[in-house]
Amino acid sequence: MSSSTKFLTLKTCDDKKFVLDEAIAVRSQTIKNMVEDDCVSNVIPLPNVNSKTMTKVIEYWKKHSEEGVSKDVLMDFDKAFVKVHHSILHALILAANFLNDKEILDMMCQEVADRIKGKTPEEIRKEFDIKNDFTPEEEEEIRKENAWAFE
Amino acid sequence: MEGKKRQPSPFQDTQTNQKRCRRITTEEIHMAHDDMVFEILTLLPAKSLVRFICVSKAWNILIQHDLNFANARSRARPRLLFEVRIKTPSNPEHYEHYRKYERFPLQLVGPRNYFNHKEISICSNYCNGLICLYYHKESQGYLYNITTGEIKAFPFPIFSMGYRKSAFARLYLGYDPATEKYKLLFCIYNKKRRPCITILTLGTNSWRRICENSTYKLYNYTCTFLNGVLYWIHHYLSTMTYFNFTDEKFGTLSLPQKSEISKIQTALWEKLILHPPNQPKNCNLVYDEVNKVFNKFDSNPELVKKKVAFLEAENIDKRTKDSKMIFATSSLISSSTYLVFPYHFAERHVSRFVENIIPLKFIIDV
Repeated sequence: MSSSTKFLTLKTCDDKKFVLDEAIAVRSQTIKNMVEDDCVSNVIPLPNVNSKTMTKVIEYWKKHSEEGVSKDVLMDFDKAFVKVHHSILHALILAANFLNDKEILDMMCQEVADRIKGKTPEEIRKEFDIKNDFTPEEEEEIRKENAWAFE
Repeated sequence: MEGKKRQPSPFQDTQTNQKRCRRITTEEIHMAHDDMVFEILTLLPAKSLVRFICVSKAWNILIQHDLNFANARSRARPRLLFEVRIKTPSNPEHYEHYRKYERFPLQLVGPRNYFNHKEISICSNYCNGLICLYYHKESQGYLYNITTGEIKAFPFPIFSMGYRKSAFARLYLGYDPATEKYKLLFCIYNKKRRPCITILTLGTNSWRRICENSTYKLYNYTCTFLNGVLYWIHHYLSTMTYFNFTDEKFGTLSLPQKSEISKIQTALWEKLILHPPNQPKNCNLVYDEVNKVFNKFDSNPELVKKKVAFLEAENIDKRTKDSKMIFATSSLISSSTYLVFPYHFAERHVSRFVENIIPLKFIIDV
């Protein structure tokens, strides 16, 4: 088995290199397409993923590629995996989107949804860096019409 | 791939160690960011979304008016809606009998999930999380959004068309996916007691007669709305009547045998599934709407697991003293689950639930 193992080198935007078993790296649909189209040179550049984020992604890929890991162990791993600072969460979502890994993406989006579902509009604006373009009167009106959601 | 390369934006990359990031423009990052926000919002419950409509104008439009968003949401959070009738106040003993079964929780829906049954009745089928209510005292029809609890009177009287005031009105609510409009179907009787069917597109003010001397039999409580079509099936008859809300035409079809709609299977599969009475549970028929035929619907009764429905609510007895109808939702159950209802409450209707948060003025106002 090991004789057929191929390795890929991924290079993140901060010039760090990661050498990875191809069988694991193709969890990324983006990398898989590149491999299948044969447009992989020695190094695959990942221009908008930094090394810190990539380390997390690879940690996930390796764990989920291990053989003989029980479902419960994986569930505990996933639970711990998503408990990160929101800046890392954000970077992971963008990375998973770029790498086209639906598994990580769905899990991360669900985590964000769980974190924000109880928040107020002000907190949401802060979290997503959104400018409030309603006048105070307009906002008051909307809040009044939907008072039940603010209880 | 390389063709997508754009001019580097002058507004990014202040950090020198990120030189290689230059190939991705801020615009692309923003687009990816918007896609992610869309994904994340589809996962939120209705109450959070309604609170977030005042975050910004862009969010307001996305949450309330974007049909793609609404569709993505109902795919991301498929749920079932139960109309439940409370028989007696709940008592822990009721569950004793069902101890060996796993509990299946039903949650109360929205801000107002029950009505005083003596004053207000449900007078239509369910359609995209909406239903018509009838207020007896005022002889007035209302559209009710189950998710948001918004209730809005129809701007027309239902009884101006030869209908006796005391009579119970029956409306049929449908959604036409082609025009993205809701429509109401109403059956009135002319002087010769012949049924005459009229239709109204919500957002307009005129009823159109589409079927004089109708021979179609529209039965109460036995109809189901599914993908732009309303189906009536009565277990005494071996025919099915249907109405397509897009071309506004009726049709009938013979059934292979007398059957009734299996509401729960229909809700789960989003296909019309019939169950012939006095037959084992696995003898269902599924309707193929393209070829207009019924096929045998395979399911393995060996795998069916019984779960007992459990109403997850505090003080439900106090709240329901005068009312019998409760709206509750649940996550999707597996198709191999058989729900058992304990003695003190019973299921009256089950359908696929769309957490519709569109304000009713956008549907009703002319």
